[in-house]
Amino acid sequence: MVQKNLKLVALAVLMGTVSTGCSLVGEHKMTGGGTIDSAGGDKKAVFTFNAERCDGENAKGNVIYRDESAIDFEDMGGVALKAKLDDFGYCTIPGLEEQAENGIACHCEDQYEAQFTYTSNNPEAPGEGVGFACFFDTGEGNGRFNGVVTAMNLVDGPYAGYINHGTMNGNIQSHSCPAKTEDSE
Amino acid sequence: MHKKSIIAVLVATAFSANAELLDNVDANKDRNVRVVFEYNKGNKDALIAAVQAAGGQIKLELDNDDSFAALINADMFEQVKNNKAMKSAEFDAKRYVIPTMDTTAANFEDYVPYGLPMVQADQLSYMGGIKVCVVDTGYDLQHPELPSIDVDGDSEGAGPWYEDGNGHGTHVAGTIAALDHNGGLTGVLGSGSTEPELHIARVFNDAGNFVYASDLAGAVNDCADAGSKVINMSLGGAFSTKVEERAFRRLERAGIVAVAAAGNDGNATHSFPASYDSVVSVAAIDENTMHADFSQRTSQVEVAAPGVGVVSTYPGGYYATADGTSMASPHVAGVAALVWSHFPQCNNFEIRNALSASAKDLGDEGYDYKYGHGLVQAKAAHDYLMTNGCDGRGVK
Repeated sequence: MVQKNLKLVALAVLMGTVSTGCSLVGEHKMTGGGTIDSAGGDKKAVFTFNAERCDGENAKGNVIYRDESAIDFEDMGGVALKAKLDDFGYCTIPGLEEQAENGIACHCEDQYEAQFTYTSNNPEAPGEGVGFACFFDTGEGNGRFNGVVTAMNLVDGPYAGYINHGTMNGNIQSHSCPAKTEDSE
Repeated sequence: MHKKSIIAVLVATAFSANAELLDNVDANKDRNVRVVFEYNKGNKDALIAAVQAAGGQIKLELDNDDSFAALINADMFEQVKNNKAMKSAEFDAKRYVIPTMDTTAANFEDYVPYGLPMVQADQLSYMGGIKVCVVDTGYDLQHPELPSIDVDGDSEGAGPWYEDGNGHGTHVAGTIAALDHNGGLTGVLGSGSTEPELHIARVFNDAGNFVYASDLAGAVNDCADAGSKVINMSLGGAFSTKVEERAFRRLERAGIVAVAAAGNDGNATHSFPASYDSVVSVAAIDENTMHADFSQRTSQVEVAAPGVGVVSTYPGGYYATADGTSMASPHVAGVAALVWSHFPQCNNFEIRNALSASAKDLGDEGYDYKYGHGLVQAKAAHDYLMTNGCDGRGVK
């Protein structure tokens, strides 16, 4: 786990994408899914995810993502992956207490961010790599609410260089961490 | 002719999703977010009251869409999001105008920018009757090269439409409409005996900054109300919104051709409004008809036009050279108006289809994501319509 995180952060630093001074903080549990625009293509990218970091140490969860019309990967049949989360949290400049809790650098200040290691589902583009996704969300409410995915970036592996973002059509649900249920209610 | 004394170098670097992220960060520092609220029919007052009770400031009412935009604290938003009057809510995305400029001195004598012959604008004369709306940073009404007779405008909260302390809007307008035979350079519509008709919708202030998508939706409605048939938008942003998309669909149904820059991020992501189906997305090419590195590649790119080293007007009677899809877009908007002026019986779909059908194929054979259908060609589009006719019943 630590090795994967170090690899991701090192790559991100090389790419100049880490937001200086920011770390993933807080305990969160979220699930969701929906679509955003394709990376340049004419169809929608489809995703589902579940993400949880409730014990203060390890994040867990999965991402499934498919963008079959991504124009830079069209020749290989598009982007299709499943991923396991390496870390997850709210990316911000941490307070002292939070800094002690988690030192994982992140990219998208004041947004939720998931860092992951993915495996390609596309036999035309086999392999593994790392990436990160960031989003704002309006939460749930009466009617249809649309958040935004501000980054879906695949840093290396078979889809290295894949970049996407877009307005979300779908829904993200925030859940209480089990251990915090009594405190938060 | 061009004496190599161009006064400004303008580096168009807009549409950066990273910049957009940073702006979102700033927005979150004070926890205020701009949200477009859609209400259920007949519930406008109830939802406005709820938003105001939560401390929200109503910024814009969009009655055509049963919506309004409000600035509201993110925490207070929690108070209203379960209100039964609400149908939907979405972040109000930002639309950016671009660049940095360095101004020097100018010296031109009846200069024809390379883009004009490249889009065949030198082979047709503008016949009048097609007003073009320029949604941008304003317009230097005093510039000796620019039309001043049939020009009106709206100041959309960013400063007087007839001034431009930024330069972007005046540059864009010059590509469309700079007048021939008065000592300087010529725009796409500038060589006819009829002075081009322009409507200026100033949505950006002198610093450029940004405009919200809901504000842009209002501004383009004003373009339509002013009688514009073509709208140029050398602007963009990473996130689509439903309110904005609906506004452009309405314009399309109302008979307007909306044209926008494909974006300058140099990657394969969509930029809006260019990537809405109801908007013509324009890529940039250079003097050798090669795709510009910065020009975004997408399945929505429809045509290409000159966007590298484009010389045009600049506030204060000056001139500037600029790079960007912002510079390509006004070539296409101008060509649309130029061709349409010869076929006023055509509708917007017929004009748009003619531009694509007659474009000069570039890059990979047939349609491709860098160039779309290819380089827009005024004379070829004219000839296409002469051959194929136009009954005003064209559809997408």
